Amino acid sequence: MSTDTGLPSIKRGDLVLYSVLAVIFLASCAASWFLLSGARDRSDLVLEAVLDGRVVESVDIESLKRESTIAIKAGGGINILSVGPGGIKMISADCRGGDCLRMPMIGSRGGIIACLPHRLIVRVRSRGQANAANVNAIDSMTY
Amino acid sequence: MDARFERVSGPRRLALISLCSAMAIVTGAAESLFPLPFPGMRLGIANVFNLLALILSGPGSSVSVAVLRLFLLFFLSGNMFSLTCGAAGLLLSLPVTIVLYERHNTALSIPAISTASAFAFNIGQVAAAIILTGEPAIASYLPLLLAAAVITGLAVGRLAETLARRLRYLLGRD
Repeated sequence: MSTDTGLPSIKRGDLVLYSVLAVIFLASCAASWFLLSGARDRSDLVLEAVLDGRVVESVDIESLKRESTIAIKAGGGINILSVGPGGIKMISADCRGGDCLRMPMIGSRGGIIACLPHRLIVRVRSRGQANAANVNAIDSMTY
Repeated sequence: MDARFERVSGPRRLALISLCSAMAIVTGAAESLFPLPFPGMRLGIANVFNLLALILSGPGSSVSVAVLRLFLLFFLSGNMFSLTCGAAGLLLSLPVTIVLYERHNTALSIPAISTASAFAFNIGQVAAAIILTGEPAIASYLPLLLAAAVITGLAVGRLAETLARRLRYLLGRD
């Protein structure tokens, strides 16, 4: 019977398990780096609002010279985005959690704000990526 | 040597499941009051009671506690999205936890098992969010969640282990 020594218990297999977890962690870092890269050149960036998998709003980032707001009707509520040269942030949402309001500002490096209760995704990505995704969307609609 | 704790059964098991479920629901509800800097990140204290039920009375009890917590918290919050994500997280984390504890208990410490369980939960949760929204970029959030899972997983495991040692005397002796 083990006794409570007050010290963290470590067993011989732990190192193996922690190594496996470290590999998973590194893989997730690589995957996220891959997902977020590609959107570096500001002139090529588009802001997209995606509702239930469909792009409902698409704005050229270059065109955002001064602060403005965009209201998006989503999932029976309304989300208000503040967009400007500094970046894009969700400033108002009448969903239950309000998690999207606490998400960090997105901008020139690409990124994503998700309002999950309203199934709304706001993302910044390069035009090339956006076009490729739209082509895929059409393809997936046809079968 | 099998390092497992003596398991409780019968009415004691029922009492343990009820106690663990009640505590898991209360801590789960209390946790949602703490705003953490990143949405979706949780302290996961409620998982202590899943693990405790597993250690003291086996996989069946652990599954009971997890499922009861999931649905009762849904009835309290009415948040369909967190129900789906939570269910997906549990679908992955419960088998991982149970297999690691039941099969590899002699080689693995409880904090290590708990960390693996937290990893599995977060991966399942993110997978569900990706499927529900159709947005693979949500996966870019995973490294952050996994980094937090190391800390909360270790803490949860340590706490469950300590509780199991202390509660054993309350539950296992006449």
